[in-house]
Amino acid sequence: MGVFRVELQAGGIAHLVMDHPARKVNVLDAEAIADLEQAMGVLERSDGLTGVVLRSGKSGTFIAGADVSAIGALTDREQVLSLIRRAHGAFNRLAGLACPTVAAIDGVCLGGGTELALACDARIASEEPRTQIGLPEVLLGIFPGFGGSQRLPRLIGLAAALDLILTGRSLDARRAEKTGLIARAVPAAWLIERAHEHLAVLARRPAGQRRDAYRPRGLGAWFVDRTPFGQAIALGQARSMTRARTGGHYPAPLAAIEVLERTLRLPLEAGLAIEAARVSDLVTGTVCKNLVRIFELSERAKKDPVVADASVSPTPVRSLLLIGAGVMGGGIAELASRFGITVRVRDLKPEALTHALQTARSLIAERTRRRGGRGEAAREALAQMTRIQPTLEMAAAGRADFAMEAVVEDLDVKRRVFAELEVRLGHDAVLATNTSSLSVDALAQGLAHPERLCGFHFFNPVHRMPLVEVVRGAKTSDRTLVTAVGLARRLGKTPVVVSDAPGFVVNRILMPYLGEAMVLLEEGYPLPDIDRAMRRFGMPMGPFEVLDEVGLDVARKVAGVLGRAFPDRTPPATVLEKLVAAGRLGRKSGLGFYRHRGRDRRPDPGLCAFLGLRRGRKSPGPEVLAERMVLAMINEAARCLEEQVVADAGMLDVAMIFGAGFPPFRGGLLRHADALGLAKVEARLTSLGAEKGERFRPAALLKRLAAAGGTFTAPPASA
Amino acid sequence: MTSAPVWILAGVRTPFAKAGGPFRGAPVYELGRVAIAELIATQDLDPASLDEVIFGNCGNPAEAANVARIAALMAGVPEPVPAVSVHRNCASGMESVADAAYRIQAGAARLVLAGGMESMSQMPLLYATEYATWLEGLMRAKTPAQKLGVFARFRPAMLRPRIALAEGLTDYVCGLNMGQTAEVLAREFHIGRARQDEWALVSHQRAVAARERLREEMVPVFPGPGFEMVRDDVGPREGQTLEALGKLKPYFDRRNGTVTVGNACQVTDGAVALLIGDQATAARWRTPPLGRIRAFAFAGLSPQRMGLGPVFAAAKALAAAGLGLGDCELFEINEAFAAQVLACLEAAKSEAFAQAELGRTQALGEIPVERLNVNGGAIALGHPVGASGARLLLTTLMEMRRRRLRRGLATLCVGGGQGAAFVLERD
Repeated sequence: MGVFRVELQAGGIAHLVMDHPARKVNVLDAEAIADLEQAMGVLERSDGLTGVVLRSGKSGTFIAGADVSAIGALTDREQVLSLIRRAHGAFNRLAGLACPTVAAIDGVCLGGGTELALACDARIASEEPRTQIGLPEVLLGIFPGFGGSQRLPRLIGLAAALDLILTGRSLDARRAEKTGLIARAVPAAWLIERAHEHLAVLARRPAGQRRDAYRPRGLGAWFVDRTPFGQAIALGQARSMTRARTGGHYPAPLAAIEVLERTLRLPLEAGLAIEAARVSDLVTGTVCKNLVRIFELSERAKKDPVVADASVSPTPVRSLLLIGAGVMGGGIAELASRFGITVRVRDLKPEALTHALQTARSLIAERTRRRGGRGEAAREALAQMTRIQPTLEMAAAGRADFAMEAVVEDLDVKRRVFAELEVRLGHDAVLATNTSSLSVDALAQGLAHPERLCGFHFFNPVHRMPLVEVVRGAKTSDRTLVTAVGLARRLGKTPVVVSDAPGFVVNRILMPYLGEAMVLLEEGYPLPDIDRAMRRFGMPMGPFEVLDEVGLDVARKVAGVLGRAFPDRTPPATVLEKLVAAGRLGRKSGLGFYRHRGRDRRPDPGLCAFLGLRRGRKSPGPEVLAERMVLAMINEAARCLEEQVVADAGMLDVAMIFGAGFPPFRGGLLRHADALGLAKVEARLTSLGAEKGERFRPAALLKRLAAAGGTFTAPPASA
Repeated sequence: MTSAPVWILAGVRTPFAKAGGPFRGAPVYELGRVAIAELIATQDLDPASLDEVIFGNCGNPAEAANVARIAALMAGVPEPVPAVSVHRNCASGMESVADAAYRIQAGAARLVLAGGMESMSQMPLLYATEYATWLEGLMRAKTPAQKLGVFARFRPAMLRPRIALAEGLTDYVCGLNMGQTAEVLAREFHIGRARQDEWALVSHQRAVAARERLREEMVPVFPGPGFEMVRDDVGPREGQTLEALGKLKPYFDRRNGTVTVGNACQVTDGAVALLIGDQATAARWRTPPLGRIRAFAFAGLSPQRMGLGPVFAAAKALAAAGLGLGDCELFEINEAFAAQVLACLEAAKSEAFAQAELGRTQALGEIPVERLNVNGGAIALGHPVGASGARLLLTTLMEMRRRRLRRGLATLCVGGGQGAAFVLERD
């Protein structure tokens, strides 16, 4: 016994306390399951128990779920199956105790933690915001396998269970109470008292009806959850929504729907057997492994100390000075103010400030609406808006801890901004540039303290894109870097540290990909086929859709920077030039590669004529089109690794997933290359190089790895 | 009072906007919040170094019992810094500074953020007490019969709203509204319509000419929901003429009156924030302090003649300072009404008035009109009642700095029969 202990309380009540000795938060690993079996033995042998309370010995967290890295390491299906069945057995013993059982939840309760709580007769939870109850397994390419797929529909009905299992979202205590997942939300201070009271309530119920079970509220709920016809509709809807959302690339949600459907009318034990079999298939599948890898990498991006010297600590950022309210100003201001940071936004143009404030306000209003729109949410929205302070004057810069410039992409203008900031701000304030095309080192020239400057590259739209490229210039100090990375994390973003190379990582790898798409177009392949090929590959948008969203003028600027940096391998951007010259800038001007109307986007029949291209060359199939564009990315990614623009393949993959929407189920760009086989990748690049030119010549690192039989993600020591 | 010098270190204000104008959607504490936050930012002030926040406000919104505290917290003043709202009608913005001075002189504070704020746009409509009583009865009624009885007692007249703004501008004791008190002074000092309109015109002309100068004491505000910038006071009219003023009907006494909305102050929204510090704080202040409070006084008089308050208060403050009117080089008399300002000028230079009312043997002195309200007054700029007092101090000190003057006198009449006066000094 070490993970679970049994504490006897007054009145014949026992506490089953989970307190994993080896971990900061409770995780249900193999050791924990074995220990639970022992604890169940103790409880089963105890006479005269009046009730059992399941609680956590860790203050402020309940049970965070299964051991994610263990899931990533499991490769033997039989081993997985036996582990799951063993957990089923232990959980069933908890469910089968003669006395009433209540789970008392305070803090995160996810995955296996929720499933363990579901084995109890009833659950209560603290109403603190830290309490989040959910089943996020689907995000790791599996679905709840410790009885969750069986016990959840029995507790909250089929429709609600599908929602929680398929989205992986978690609920706070109030919402959980509403759906019936818990019996009651209570203040954390009274959690144990209320749990004891609830045991007494359960004890008064007639035997056989002690467990909380689903009771449909209203005719609609009854129809959906209790009639075969209604169930069929709910399942059908879930299936079509899932297909639309996953493009068929993710097996787990469809498997979950299938299991819920098949086990709907089966007894619990039979259902558990089916659940175990399907989850075992998924755990050992590629998609699960890829998603686990991405999860672990993003955790690393969130926690990595970034610098070798552990004594360097970030400066806490209380106030942010944003110079330039341009395109991203409103989004950045909204984001920072949401996390309690006062943002002074300075722009010379009042209209720019007005626009930034309007943008921030509508983003805040949207979030507030989603959170119910009243009470606490509305109050927070008001307070958030007061943290955004517009000003025309640099003199009113105030006491900013962190200054970020987002002014026009012009070296001299930006240098002047930093020269002024350096004089005005306290000596420990960090300076950052949101540039996407200029060099941080070039901007640092002339500063008395260039070590205070770093790049802080958001992606547009700021509130939706999770990546921030934190650019380390040649002179950027550890403290500056750590502070910038700390700020990105506080803003809920995933920071990836990159070096000061043209285009940093994401744009640098995206440009050859977008460029290749334009070459394909010039070769006469139909534009919709090219976009469709990449969407089928798993990208959220096709390359031309991306170009139109970003803005063709912006794309041309970035292409120009990279073209100057790497002239030997950049195809001429003639298509972009022509479109920009004609004022076809993409969504913002209503016309780009597509015609835009509101959110709607349609192919432009006049595009080929406008560009003077021959039309209607027959596509060789989506795989062939996608291959060329993906190989262009892989090749450039290899060069980034070689030049150490980013720490390793893992961080590069994180950047491409969170910054460019590279499909997570493929595990990342370089993981995808490894899966293709580097020798094959090299061979294809070589032959494409012979056919299409220099830009496909395989990168040196790729050649070395291919020759040594290595991979990007786990390179042999020699490479 | 001269023992421990009290300094006005710095100040900013929002533009003043006509009620119902661009600040229509901003509650009073939001205006105060902007003034406080901008003062903190422009002065590079660590708000934790404040000993207290004191703000004047007259029309206290129901949801914000202590508006000063709310504005301070929303502006980022840390929680341990206490805040109090003060109310001396139109002098509330001076009362806050006076209170700060008392604390500093008593050694209880070294640095105080004082000021005033008012939203006359958001003065509420109220239900009559009768209606509240009726509602209470309805809630207490249990049986249908009882309820029917209560319903039978309902009278539609109960629903007639009470207009907080109008009631606030009416003196409870004498029953006159502020405009009617101005008519009292117009008659007493025989100040006809033409003279009043001429003064109003001067106020607009001076305010328009001072637009650039006034920007120096203001911060631009971007009020929701549209967030369009408001950079200047809304009140001053470029092309104001005597003809246009002459066309207006008397507002408070329609048949025989002289006071119109054109020669009276505007109903306005705005906020002002000042930093008040002791000698030591002023000595180490990053920027040169605006000036020093030499003396101040509040004086009482009959509510019907409240417009003469400046004369009573000035006499008291100057006596406390041991100075005469002639020692002052710049003057502000808040323009509640043109008639009232002109009456003050008459009263100040009258020996008979001085003997009868001020207990002086000689007249207070003549206030030169070319040194009075040189950047326009409330007739053009507007009079957000709780804020104006602080604006007068700020405007006077800023102009003294521009003209390199040593001494100024800022005064204000107060509804309910009071006056306020501050003698300000610069080195």
